[in-house]
Amino acid sequence: MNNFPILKRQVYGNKLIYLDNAATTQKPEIVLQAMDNYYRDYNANVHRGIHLLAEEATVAYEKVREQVAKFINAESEEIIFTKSTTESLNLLAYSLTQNLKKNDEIILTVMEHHSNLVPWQQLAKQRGLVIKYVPIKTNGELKLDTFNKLLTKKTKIVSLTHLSNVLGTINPIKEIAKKVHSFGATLVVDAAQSVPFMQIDVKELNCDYLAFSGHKMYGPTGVGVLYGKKTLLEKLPPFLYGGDMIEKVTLKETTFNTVPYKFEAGTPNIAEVIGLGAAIKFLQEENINTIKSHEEELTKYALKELNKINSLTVYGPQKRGPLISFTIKNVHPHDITALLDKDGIASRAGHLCAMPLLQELNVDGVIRVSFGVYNTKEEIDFFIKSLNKAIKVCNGN
Amino acid sequence: MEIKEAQELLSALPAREQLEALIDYGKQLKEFSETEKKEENKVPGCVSTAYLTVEVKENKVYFSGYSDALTIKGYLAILINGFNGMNVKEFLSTAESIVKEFITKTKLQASLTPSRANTLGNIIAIMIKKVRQQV
Ligand SMILES: Cc1ncc(COP(=O)(O)O)c(C=O)c1O
Repeated sequence: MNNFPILKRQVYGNKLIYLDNAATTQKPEIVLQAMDNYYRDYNANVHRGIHLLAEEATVAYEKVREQVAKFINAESEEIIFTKSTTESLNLLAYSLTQNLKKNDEIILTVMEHHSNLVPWQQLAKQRGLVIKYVPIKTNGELKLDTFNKLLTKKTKIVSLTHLSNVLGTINPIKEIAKKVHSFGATLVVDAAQSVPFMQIDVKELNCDYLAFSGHKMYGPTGVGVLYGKKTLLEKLPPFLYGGDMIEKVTLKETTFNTVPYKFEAGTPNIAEVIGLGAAIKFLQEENINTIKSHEEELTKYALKELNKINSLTVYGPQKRGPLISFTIKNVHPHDITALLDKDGIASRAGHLCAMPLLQELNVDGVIRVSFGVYNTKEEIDFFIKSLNKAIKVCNGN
Repeated sequence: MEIKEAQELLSALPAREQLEALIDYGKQLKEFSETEKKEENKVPGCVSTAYLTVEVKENKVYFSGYSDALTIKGYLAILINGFNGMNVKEFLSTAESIVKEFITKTKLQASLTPSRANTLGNIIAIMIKKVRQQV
């Protein structure tokens, strides 16, 4: 295993046990080094200067585009670098809705992260569009029969998460894509949680757009990806205007650069993109399928152990991604995470940026543990022990 | 109990014990009337739901409060027990600096992940605001 310097750190005198990977993952040495090397050896702006450093920086930056493309089975021109999943989704919400007509419909699901809900909701308000939400079953899976009924000729866009950051539900994108396309609508997939966990093949999924973040896949913050089918990107109007995204500018008019550059206005996050390249190399070396099996095993084990605790309710389906949200009867989630923290365990509590989903589940907040490539079964044992201790502290007199 | 007392007690403890002591304070917080659990008594900016009321009687302040998180209840208990019965003028002129010192000495903020914002500072600011509204 490539080493993660931060995991050597102590927290309140305990070894750090990092179970907040769905929020952000830790960074392996090769990512840190790649970014450091860029700043030390060849820091320059990309696509501009005619000098050696600029040439090296541009080559490194563009090489990552190819790496990302290969990683998700896309073409290089189909990869746009953004700042995050959030920015990718905002770009789409803004640009995809520009040519829609009043009362055109967008379908989302109730399990969306705020970043795949608020942009559509706000743009819909501005442009008089209608949003419909796919509900969930009690086990946390989408009600696909309701989805089929919501889908009509009025539907222009369907946007949903691949892997829920609260429930762990993995949505059947391939199947959904077929239905969406049969109505001529566009399918957007939020893959923030799935890209670090499972093999993504955009050709197989046949989604039109896909968004994810570098920082959730062992890469740096400040870099995200938007994949889009080339033919669609060519027609999509740009979101941000400025340098680099233009072909020709006069005082009166501007023509835009080709894809993907049309969507990358201004100086990009070069070091972060280079760091993302290293993260992909890391994921490939570790092998994404091996990572998936490892995390699935941890999740299954943790689920089994959590279900032994009487007062505890787990949300979401049995078959899921590497995260578990739960509540404990009569105990506030924040009290538990604060106590876990004192044992060196980093977990998450609250609404997890999915307030509408929590309203559906009828809870104010949950506790979430989420697993990464470096977590172990021993860490889960320690977490369960610490959790039981915390419950006792909160319930005792 | 004086805030100074809680301060000395908590400052002497390592992080884990300190948090457990805070939770214990929370458990001792007096019952809060169900009818007072209403919007206007909510403490804004708190990540967990919290309520706070104040009554000024014979020139003295009397608070009561509630939160569904024990850690926040602990904060409320320390502040309420510390300030209840204090003369209004004294409260208004000293409360903020007393709490500031409490935060620095106990380093409790650092040990409280649920509070993204400055929880204690937030609660005391609201206590002061509520007292000002009444006098
Ligand atoms: C499912 C999902 N979508 C979107 C996001 C937003 O990602 P970012 O904050 O990196 O833009 C997250 C991150 O928490 C997420 O879990």
